[in-house]
Amino acid sequence: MDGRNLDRTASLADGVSSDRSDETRPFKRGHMRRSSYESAQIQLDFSRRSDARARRAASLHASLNKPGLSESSSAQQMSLSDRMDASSCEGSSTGTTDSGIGGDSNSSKRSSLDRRFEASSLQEWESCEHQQQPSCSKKPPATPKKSLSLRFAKGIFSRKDGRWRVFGDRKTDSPGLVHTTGLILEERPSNLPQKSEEEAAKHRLLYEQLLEQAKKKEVKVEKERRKALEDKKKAEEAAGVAAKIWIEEILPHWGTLSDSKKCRDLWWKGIPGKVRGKVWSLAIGNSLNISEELHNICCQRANKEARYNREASMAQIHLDVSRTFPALGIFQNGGPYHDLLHKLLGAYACYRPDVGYVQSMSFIASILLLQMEPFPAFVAFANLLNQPLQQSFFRLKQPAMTEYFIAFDLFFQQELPALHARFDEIDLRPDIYLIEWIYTMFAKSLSLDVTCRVWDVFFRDGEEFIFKTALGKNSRDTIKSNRYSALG
Amino acid sequence: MARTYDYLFKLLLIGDSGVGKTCVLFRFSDDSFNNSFISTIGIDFKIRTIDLDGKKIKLQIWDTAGQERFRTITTAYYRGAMGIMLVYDITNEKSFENIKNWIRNIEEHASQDVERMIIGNKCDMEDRRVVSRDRGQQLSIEYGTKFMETSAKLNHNIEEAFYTLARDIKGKMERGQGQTVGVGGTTGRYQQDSTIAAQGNNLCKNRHTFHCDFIAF
Repeated sequence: MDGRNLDRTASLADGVSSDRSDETRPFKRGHMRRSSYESAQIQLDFSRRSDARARRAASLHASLNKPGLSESSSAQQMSLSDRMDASSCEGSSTGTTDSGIGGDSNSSKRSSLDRRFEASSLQEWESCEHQQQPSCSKKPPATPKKSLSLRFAKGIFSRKDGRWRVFGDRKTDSPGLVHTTGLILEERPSNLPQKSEEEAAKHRLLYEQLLEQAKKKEVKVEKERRKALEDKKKAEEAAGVAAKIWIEEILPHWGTLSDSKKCRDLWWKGIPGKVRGKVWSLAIGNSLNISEELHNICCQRANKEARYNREASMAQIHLDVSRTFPALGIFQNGGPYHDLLHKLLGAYACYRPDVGYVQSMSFIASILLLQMEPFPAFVAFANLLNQPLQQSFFRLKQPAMTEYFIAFDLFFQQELPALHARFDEIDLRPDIYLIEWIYTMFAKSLSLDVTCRVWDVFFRDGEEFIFKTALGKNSRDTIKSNRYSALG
Repeated sequence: MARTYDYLFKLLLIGDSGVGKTCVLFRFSDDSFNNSFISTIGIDFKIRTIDLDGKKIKLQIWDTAGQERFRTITTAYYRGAMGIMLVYDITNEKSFENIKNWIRNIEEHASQDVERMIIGNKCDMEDRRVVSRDRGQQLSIEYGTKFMETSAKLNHNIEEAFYTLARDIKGKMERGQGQTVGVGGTTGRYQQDSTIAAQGNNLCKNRHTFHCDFIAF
């Protein structure tokens, strides 16, 4: 039963027992209804609507009536709501298959944040309700028990003295469809003069138009969702096909095919995760001729020299390994990649004592380790760091670095003159952002997925692509936020 | 764009790797703390505007990479700084000893009248303390700077430290040349003494004039 699931997973908004409000408070005309639904069917479905949502609302109501219990006090309430679960599930077994609340299993996946939000909006409605009560007398056609227990969520529209109300709710039968619009056509409250026929017809027309729009919107949303699904499927299929081409056609003939148009075109679209490590390895090559034996020697030496001379590279490595992608939790102490990363960086510091360890190497090494085995990762790492751009930066060759900054500045000025002028105006020089981007090859400022994607093309096009990415990032960052304006 | 502040102060955080510079800065700018901050590469900055004796002061705080190796990069940013915080970790003897190296760095690269302050961070970790408060105090007296022990984790003395530094800068400024400071003050461009940088800047300029000429015709 949906309701059961829901309440099991329900968190904050689910308060104490609902029994009291469920049974003792009959539904009154003008009582704020808590409902969610898709169409005018609502009025027909009214009596069928129930239960899990209902209970939630009612329980909240109960908790509101007991000021001692705040909705966020947790453990005690949870156990209460669990208990309530059992009892109220029995009581609600009649109408739970109603499609109107079919989304409950769905909604159980919602975050507690959403619930809290709903709870608070519920509270607003509740207070509203109390104000309205005195003017209401007529009972609706629903059975008292169920109607009371309807829950409404965020109201997006309400016209108190009009004939209709629009509530927005998140929802229901199709998974993934988050919002729908519910509409009710209501009679004017009995304490107000009845509308004329003409007016009533006009309002009915308006109401139908609204319904029509809501339906159209839903259809549109559903269509988009389907399309997104299809696109995803297509992308997955394409990735499968691409992976097959990579594995069966390109990789076996890497020497001859790697420069072919077909390969480069495919490459541009991104390397499938399955073969990424392999392709990167091949693309980087091993011009340093690092053998497995050398790798082992370096690893052993790194092990012995717990404290490596050059400004205590080892101590710095130790500090930085845990600070690499902390969100992933795999490079931290005790994580599966902690030792591997430590070893790789240590081995490199031994392999190239003249370079040693430079902060940000941990980011590059970690990404390589995520794609390949330790030995190929070491080879790739050492060879990658041997490229001109990396050499300039990791060995801190100031003049060469400056040349890169200037080259980028000119490139920037040429491609995005207006933005460049603005950056100049606030004295924002390229080195401020380029340093981090180049050292980490965007690993720190882009998400892991995007970083890998950038690296794909970097291995195809070389360092030029780093600067192209930087340019793209500049224009995007500036449009997205005004972070840099803070400098002005 | 109307300016929303009276003064703009550029501050700089320096100190060994892992002493908590970024955490101190995050606590001050975002009032948040995260045990697993990632290492700063090169340089980064944060902004916070504070109210000091009725004046709105915008603090532009530069955070630097701690690793020795990056000093050649980070020292380029010393020049624009009006206040520098030297941070060490009270649980790390070496970071404390290195303060004198950082001071020497300041003397070499920062402007003469820069305000300095020594910060002993991580004072919440009393059980692992190796640098006593007195030693920190002593060192600060030696160099004639202010001193505070802070904890970014517990938000202890963080606000106080930045406010104190800002107040000192403001005081010095108002005693000194009146109110001419505020805007300007170059952030580190390319290495000052790099001839290529100089050439490069000329190159940029030439290119710029060339463009103008072209448009004029």
